[in-house]
Amino acid sequence: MNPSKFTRREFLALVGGVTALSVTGLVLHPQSISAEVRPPGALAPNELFRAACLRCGKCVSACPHQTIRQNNERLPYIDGINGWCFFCMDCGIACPTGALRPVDPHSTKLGTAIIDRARCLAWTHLECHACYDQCVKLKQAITLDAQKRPLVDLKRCNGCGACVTVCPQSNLEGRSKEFGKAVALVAD
Amino acid sequence: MEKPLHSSPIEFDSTESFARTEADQKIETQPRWKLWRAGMTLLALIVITLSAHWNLGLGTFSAFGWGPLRIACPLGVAQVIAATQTFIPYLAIAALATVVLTMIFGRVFCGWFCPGRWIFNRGPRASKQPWGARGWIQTGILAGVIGVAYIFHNPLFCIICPVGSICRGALAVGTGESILPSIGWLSALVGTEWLSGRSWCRDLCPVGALYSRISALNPFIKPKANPAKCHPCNACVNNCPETLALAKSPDLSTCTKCFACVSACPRDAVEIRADKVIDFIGNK
Repeated sequence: MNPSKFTRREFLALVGGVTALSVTGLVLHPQSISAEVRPPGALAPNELFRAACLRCGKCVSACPHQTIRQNNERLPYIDGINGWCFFCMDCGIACPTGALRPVDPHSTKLGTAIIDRARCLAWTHLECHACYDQCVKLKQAITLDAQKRPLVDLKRCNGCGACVTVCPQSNLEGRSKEFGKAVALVAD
Repeated sequence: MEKPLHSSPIEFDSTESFARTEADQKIETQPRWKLWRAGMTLLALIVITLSAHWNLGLGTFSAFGWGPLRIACPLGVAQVIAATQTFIPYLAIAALATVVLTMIFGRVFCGWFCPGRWIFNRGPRASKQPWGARGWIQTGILAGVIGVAYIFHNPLFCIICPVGSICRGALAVGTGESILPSIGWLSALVGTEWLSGRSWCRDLCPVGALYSRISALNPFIKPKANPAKCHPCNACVNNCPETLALAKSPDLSTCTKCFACVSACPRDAVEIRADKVIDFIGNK
């Protein structure tokens, strides 16, 4: 495009279009129903975490598995879609404000995985135990029932999100909710 | 009536085509400040993106550092301390490091590191500007931002901060997320800037306002017009992002040390006074 032909009106139209596009994306983006799962060692009530978080994104930058994402409020959260939490505490070490602190990896519980039985392949169609195979290596919180359908042991689950990462159901973000994964992380 | 500075949004800087009819040899003697500044900003953004991509955890402009060596945005730190109503010592030390750096180098963050320097401040300027009240407006916004954080127990400005949005975009590039939220918010701000005829960096930005207040304590790097050479032509005013008229020896606390005045001056009359630095080193 010739820069001299690029008028102010066209520039404003471009800027307004991009703004409208992103606002539309923001409105159509599916929001989680439950409270978001925070990275390990987050300050306990969500209000306190919200006050203490600088929104600098240092935890996102430090996370070795790119598990931590930023929501629209620029707060970090974990949903297990890009990767799961290894409890390495790099985010807690990197956090400049102490909103995330290094804690004992073995006793930390981020949240709980819940299985959407209407979406889960094992519950609707045929045998799939990807989440079971993954969880057996990590925490043994998912068990299979007599029909080889996965069940989450709410006591054992530490909310790392590995089952969400390996769930083969499609993850088309930006569509309606029935296109999501069959297992989701929910804060306690 | 001021002429609109940048007629085209594509054109990056008008210094190249402005008021340079005589003394062309000064281009060779002066460093190309605009290139250096753009390179520095680009380097900082690449460092942020790659540190997120390789999980180095260096952080962003809001908080940067490795291990215990940390600097942090003083406005963000002030908001967090106001929101939590708790004094966080190591966070305050990180902010103090930024304050000391600003006292040494002046408001260099705005001129050399902030990517907003390249996307804001390009629109047409409104003919009526609140020249006298600008400092008060900035101080009011600054106090309001910290007060809002105190009242709502939430550093709310950090959510909408354009510098933070750019950093979020850089992190999103590094980690494979969507950059649409950042781009959308920045384009909304740029559109507002163009429609209102104000400048975000000069008139509104509370981060820049705080850096200006700290930079008032900086005694070192100051552009001064050499009265022997200066024949007031307003080239410095028209090219300065903060509209400082060097011929009238203004208050230089808002100076971003971008040296656009040095590049723009047709008579090579702008000198960077570093006398105190030279005295300090003992070279003179």
